[in-house]
Amino acid sequence: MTRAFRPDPKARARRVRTNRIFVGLCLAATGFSIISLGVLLVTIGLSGAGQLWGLDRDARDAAMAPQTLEATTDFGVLDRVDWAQAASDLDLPALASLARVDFAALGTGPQDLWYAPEIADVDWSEVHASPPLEDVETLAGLDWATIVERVRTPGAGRLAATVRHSRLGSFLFSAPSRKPEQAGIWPPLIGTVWICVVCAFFALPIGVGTAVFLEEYKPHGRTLRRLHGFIQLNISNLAGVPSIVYGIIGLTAFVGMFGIVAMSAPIEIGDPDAWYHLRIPFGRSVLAGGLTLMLVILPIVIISTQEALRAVPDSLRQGSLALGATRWQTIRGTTLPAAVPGIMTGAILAMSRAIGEAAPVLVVCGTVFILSSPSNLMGDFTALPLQIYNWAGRPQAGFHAIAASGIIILLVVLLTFNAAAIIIRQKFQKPLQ
Amino acid sequence: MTTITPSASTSSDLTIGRPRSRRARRVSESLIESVLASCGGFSILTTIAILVVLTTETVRFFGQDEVSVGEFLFTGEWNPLLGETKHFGIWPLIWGTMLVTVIAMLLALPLGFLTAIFLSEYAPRRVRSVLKPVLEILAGVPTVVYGFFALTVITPGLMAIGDFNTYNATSAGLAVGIMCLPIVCSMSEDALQAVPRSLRAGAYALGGTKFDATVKVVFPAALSGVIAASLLAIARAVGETMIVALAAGGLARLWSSPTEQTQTMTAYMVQIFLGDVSNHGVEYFSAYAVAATLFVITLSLTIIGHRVRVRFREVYE
Repeated sequence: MTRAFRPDPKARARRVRTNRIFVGLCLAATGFSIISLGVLLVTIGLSGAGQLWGLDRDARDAAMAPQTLEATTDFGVLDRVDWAQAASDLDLPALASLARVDFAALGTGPQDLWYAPEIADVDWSEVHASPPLEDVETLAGLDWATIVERVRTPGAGRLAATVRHSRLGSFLFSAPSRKPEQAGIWPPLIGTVWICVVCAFFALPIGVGTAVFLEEYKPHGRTLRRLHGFIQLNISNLAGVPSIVYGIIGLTAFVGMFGIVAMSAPIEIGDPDAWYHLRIPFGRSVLAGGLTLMLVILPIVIISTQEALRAVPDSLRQGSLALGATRWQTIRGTTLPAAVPGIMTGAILAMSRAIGEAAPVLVVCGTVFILSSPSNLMGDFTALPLQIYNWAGRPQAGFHAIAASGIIILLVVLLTFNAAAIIIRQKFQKPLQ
Repeated sequence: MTTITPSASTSSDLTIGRPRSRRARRVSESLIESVLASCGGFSILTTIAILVVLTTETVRFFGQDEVSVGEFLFTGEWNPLLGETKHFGIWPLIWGTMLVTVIAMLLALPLGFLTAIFLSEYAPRRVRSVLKPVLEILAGVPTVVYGFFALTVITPGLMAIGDFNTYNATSAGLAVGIMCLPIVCSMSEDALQAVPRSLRAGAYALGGTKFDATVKVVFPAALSGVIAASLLAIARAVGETMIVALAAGGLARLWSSPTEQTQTMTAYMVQIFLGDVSNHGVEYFSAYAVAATLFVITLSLTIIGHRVRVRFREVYE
């Protein structure tokens, strides 16, 4: 039986009203999302930018004025002190860094004195009072602020001095400190660069290789196809593993090497100061950190490369094969070049993930308080997000402010990366169909 | 092999690279293939490493005198660091993780869905083309930034409203929710966009309003993608580390309220690996047992998500 359709004006009006309410709801939700994300950026900007803006004119002028170090002190005496011993005796960790200072050369040449703020923090009267360090008497009388200044900016030009004494410059180029107003992010920044370079060096070839294998070498046999499917499923599962779990794997596999070689008696290759220095197990080093990050971003690199390869039309491959090229020649000469923009975009986004990742680095680094940047693959390091976490976790408001400044630097780096990815995508993405 | 290899006698101009014997070429081809295959094998190696490390260290943890599997799985007190007797019952940590995840999802899922619906169904094309990349960039903001935001903005705000602790689960949960919002929104929007136009047209033709078309037709059609997005967001929230380490506090207690401090599985691992715990103590190995639990939970979420996507996928042509 059919019934004539009778429009009910009331029901219609009700539905229109529902529709209108729903639109309002959607708009409100979108508004809330955007506002909350906006508030996030604005509050961080407001609390962090203050520390990055401005110039300490007096300090700059003082640095530019010619200074002479009083040559009355016998610095040579200080070279003979066992600073590491003194540091543990007196419970003043900052003293250990003095072991690296070439005191005899202090008055004359420039040195890497990133640890200098720590020296300035030392309470010298306390050091002087202790028996094994009578020679140190002379240290207490020194104006360390001036020494540090002089060593850091030998014959500073106006521009160099301006950069050094602008708030941004001193924040960028100083080491972390116990005093928030003196703290900077140079070692963490350089540490991040190191681990990201190591990470990219391993993750990109392995990731692209895996993706090429999965996309371009589709097997015909049954077992091989199963294996293929298993690797594929495995990769999507790996992408879902929390990054801190990767940190734990890195700690066991790279830092400790499963305990095959004891951490206390490592096998050393090369001089500890040489650039090629290698140590097995790796310990809490740049290499271990970079490899751990590689584990984190490898699934991302693989998945994005696969998508880029899938976007290359089959006709290109077939054309190349029809001309008599082998499989690898087709990949190298045709498929990969066509997929490069997509691969690059994915790689850059994966790297920006690596830059911002704190949890795995935290597990690999542990608690060490690091004031110098690493000089080779086995060097101790700290990373930008980890330093931000350290600062943000402290109760003092001063540290929260510099955490915000650190976040601004981190976000600027990330935005640069993302912008690069977008530009590459816009510029090189030619329609291939 | 289906590829055609040119014989050495054809003109060398037609081949790419220099002409070589067929045999040499076949050797190099299979060499390259095995190199690429070993790259693929690396991911399997990673999985094996994860399984081996987590299993052996967890077994070592249960081998200690202070703990037993029964205590770990069936008791509700987690107190490994302080006090006379150490207690290792995993449930307080799972409760903390659940609390934070539920609060996060209460914020992220409804807002994410509504925003996705707005972007996909209502927003003008231009608005959409601006908002989508912005959301994707925000998805790349490091989580430590959200943690800082929770600590310095959300927590003081909550403390002004009600009786909240300086470290509390709500603040961390809200921050995790904001972090998950772009993921939920972006992936749901993709799923909604994949629903063909004809379905919407059909709904309109039957006299439906836009609300009817969206809620009764398009959203159910995109459900598999939306559920997959939600499961991914849940897995992310469960595995989130830096936000909870900064904002949630460090006290694991079963049935703790959202206004008090709590500890998640990830935050406990941070506490262990940042603290001065000896490398051979039972506390140290307990972190591995917690990591194994976390791994099992996120792995099952990933697998369920995969199943849902394969099982309920609606294919339109």
